[in-house]
Amino acid sequence: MFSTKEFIEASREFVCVRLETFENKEHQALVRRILNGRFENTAFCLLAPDGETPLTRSSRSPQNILGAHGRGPSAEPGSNEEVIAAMKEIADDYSPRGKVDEMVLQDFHSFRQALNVASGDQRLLLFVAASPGDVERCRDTLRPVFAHDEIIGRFHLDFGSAATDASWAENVSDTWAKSGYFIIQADAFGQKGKAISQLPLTAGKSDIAKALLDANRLFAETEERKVYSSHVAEGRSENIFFENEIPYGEDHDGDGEVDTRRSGKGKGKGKG
Amino acid sequence: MKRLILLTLSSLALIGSSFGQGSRPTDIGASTQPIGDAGIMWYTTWDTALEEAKRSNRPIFFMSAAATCSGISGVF
Repeated sequence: MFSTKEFIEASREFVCVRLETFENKEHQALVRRILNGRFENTAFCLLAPDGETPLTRSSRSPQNILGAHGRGPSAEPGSNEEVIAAMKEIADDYSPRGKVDEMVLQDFHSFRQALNVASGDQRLLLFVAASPGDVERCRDTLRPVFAHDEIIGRFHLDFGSAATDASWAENVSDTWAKSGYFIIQADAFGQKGKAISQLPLTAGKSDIAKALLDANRLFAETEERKVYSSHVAEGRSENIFFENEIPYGEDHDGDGEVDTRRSGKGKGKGKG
Repeated sequence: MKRLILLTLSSLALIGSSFGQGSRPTDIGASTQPIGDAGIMWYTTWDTALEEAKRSNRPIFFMSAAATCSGISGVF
């Protein structure tokens, strides 16, 4: 459903946020708030712009809630059309304001997480390595770029932080500078990447946009969609593990503890 | 052949672990569209999403998901 043109168009009327469930305690707390105390690896809800007022019940996916068949605890999941229609009905209650090219830009808590998410989505990542003094100027440059129809929704964007990303370049090949705009292709398991294009921090909007589009064109020609089952099977055989702050596991009864029938692997050691 | 057997066994193990975690929603944001096409524009921190929602007065489409499966990265 998320891949259909109609859904993507409907999503533009919302601020879409997808948090990595196990990334940190803040995300865990938010998921518990959304799921009324439970902690599960996926959660969904529509909220008012204040971030507090729920506009729907919460569940694990939109189909469980939105649309005529999606309402009620034992109802059949809503169809794509019903979900989209319900989203439009809710969005119509709000009048968007402000200019699109003044939007807040995407960011990640860490480069490590950005690389993994870019790999999972199979999108290129634009990583900005800049001193704190340059970052705001970079944001000003990038806002209209990332609001452009040909760029929006095609890339992930991360601004490096000295606190969390000091060693980012150790996991990225083909970089020639310590600072700049780096267009990075993540590897299959999102733990390493290669810079397929890079520009200095003095680059202008049109140069950045052109580099992004050129890189995306090449990426589309050479990358193939992952197959979930074989990807995971290969990861197991290669002993891949990605450690998050929160151990893997779910708390279905909402007692504050991860259910004991599952064994969390959050203390393991990752590859790469 | 050895690799095929290994992959098959790993897949079976995956099915087992998926049952252990409860059903995995069939659509949690991973895309089946052609690579390079425009998809959902995701914010990936709560602070940036909330700031943008307040700025633009748009409602929030909230999802959380793991970009891992049983700790294996690079997949939604």
